Amino acid sequence: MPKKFGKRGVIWTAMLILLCLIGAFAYYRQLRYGLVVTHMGDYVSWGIYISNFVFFVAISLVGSLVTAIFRLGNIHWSTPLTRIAEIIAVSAILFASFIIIVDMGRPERLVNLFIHGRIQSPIMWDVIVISTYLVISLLLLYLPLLPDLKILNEQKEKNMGWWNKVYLFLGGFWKGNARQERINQKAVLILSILIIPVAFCIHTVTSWLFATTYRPGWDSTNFGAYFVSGAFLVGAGAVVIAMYIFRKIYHLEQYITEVHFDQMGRVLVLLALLYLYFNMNEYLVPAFKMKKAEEAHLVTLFTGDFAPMFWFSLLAGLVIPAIIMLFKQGRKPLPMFILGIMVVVGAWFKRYLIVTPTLLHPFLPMHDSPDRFRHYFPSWEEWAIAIGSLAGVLLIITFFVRIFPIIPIQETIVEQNATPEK
Amino acid sequence: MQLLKNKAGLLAIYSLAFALSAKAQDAAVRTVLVDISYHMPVNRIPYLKVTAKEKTGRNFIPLKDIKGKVYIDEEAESSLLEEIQTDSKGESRVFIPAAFKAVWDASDSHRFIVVTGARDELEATQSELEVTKAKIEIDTAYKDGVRNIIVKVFRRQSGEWEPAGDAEVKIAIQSLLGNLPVGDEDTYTTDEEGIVSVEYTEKDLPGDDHGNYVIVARTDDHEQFGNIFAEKKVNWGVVLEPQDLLSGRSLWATGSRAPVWLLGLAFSIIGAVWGTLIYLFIQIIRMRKAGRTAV
Repeated sequence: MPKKFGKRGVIWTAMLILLCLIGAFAYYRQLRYGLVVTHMGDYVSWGIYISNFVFFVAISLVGSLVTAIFRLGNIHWSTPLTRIAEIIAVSAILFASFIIIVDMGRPERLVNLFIHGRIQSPIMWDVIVISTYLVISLLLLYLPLLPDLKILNEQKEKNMGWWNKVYLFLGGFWKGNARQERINQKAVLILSILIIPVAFCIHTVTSWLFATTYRPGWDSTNFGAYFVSGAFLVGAGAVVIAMYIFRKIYHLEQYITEVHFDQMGRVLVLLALLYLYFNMNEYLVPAFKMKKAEEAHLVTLFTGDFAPMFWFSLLAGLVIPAIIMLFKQGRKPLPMFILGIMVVVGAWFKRYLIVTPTLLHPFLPMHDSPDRFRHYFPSWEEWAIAIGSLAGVLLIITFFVRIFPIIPIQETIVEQNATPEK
Repeated sequence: MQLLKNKAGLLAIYSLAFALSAKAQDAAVRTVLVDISYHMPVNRIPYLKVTAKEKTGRNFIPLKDIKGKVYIDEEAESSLLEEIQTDSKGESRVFIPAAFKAVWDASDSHRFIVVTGARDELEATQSELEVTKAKIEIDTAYKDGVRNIIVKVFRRQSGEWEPAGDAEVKIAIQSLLGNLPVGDEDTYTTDEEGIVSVEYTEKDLPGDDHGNYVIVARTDDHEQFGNIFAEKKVNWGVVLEPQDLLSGRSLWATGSRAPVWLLGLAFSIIGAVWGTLIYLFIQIIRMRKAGRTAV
């Protein structure tokens, strides 16, 4: 059940709000002075913003994995995790949309996308699929919440102030009768089926923003599968982190057990190996051929300026967690929490590595350009906005668990009664 | 014993001499090779291209930032055309300034002198180039129903243009990424009257939107004339009818001209997904109603 913030909760929320405010101030400066406050230029025109966007889109895919794929696969152990996965998905996709607007520089021109939009452009596909995915994710968050809203509505005295009105507005009509149950179950089933192709589309289309552009490092037919596999990995990593924190703070040991960490560990190993396979395809095949244009890009990654970040993201964010999680001890809550952080941090740097080094290595030589265009390191405004958006995602999740039950109470009880532990 | 001592002494002297010689070679002055070429483009100011390089092994390495002075006819301050500094390719261009028109017109031939100063271990140099003024004219004619390109080369002599015999010229059709040579030969040599006549049989070469293309003729580093150019536009080409790639439906057209198959595919998918979502919203309304009429 949701409960008031404790001292730590207040400090945590205040810190997130502060980061969001700093990000908002940086965005004000960007609006006031233009994209000149960033360190993007003629070559690196997609910097940390688009890296962040790809990261958010990736992390949002976990909603479809835990809620839909596991549900349709009749995997019951994941039931207590579905709401965590869905709120991560909703908040991440919201900020993915926001960060794209930030990257545009002139937000009022967003309307042009709808007036003069070209259905031929992957950018248009991305806009359509992101908005669709957001609506589906919101519905998948809302519909399974209805039975829990009934519980909240039944214990008004325990709830906080005017939130009772919100619960009443959202779920006051839910009586839990047979007809409602039947309609709701059917709707959730339809959504679970619908979200899978849409989820694959959202990240495949995001990958096509890159792959349909002829550039070293992006010119790949594998990019869709490469992005989707990476997205499931980072999303699962994020769920593990959230599981550990909510379990600890809300004392949910009864619902989120060590079995859940063990099972998520197995899922993560599978996803890490799958992503490793696609990484090998993406780097080893071009490296074997070493075409001249690809060479500069690959050398920068393997041994050049980006090598520390590249090897960190590959080893610390992928290989080492996968190896540790092969062992049962590695799938205990605390190691899983640490490994989840490694996976998510590695994944963020991985997105940065997908975007930036390629832009610094165009096919045509860089002529008559200022020296600063040949390098890229984000300005403080870019960092502030990126960190602010990350804080924004966490803030939405924080407020959500403050207001709604993070464990699907009704569903979990039904599951536990239906499949008693042996 | 005395012999051994003498040999040891000689060995020491040889070693010292060898070491000193090696040291001297290390600090040897590097030779700079300076090359001057004269260029007379069509309807443009003639210019000189100065190239500085040095030979390292079998390769010629361009020398950057070599400073020098370029003179016309004599090495005097009044004859200084320009002070130069070579770029990263070891090159520098000197256009004949308008102030030297009188000097330029006064003689049929000119001597260009380039003097570079010493820098670090690079030696100072002086190079010269003697150029006789020349020009090329292009004409066309029909002989026995075949098109002919007639190129005439003239040299300046005693203030008059005289035919320049035995001059090698290249004749080509100008194109976007390099010229197409005319005929079977790479170069043609003028006769005593300074004329080269080449049969031109190409009939299906594309021209511009009026069927025009440009014949070019030039001498290539001629020892007396340098590099002189001429061109003539002819209406011998096939009229180019540019393909209108934007007016039809295509992936690269504007949004309103998207391919029908793409529109069909995209809107079918969007319709199917959003149709389902609308159906789900209706289900939420049904659930609300079901709540009011509890069963």
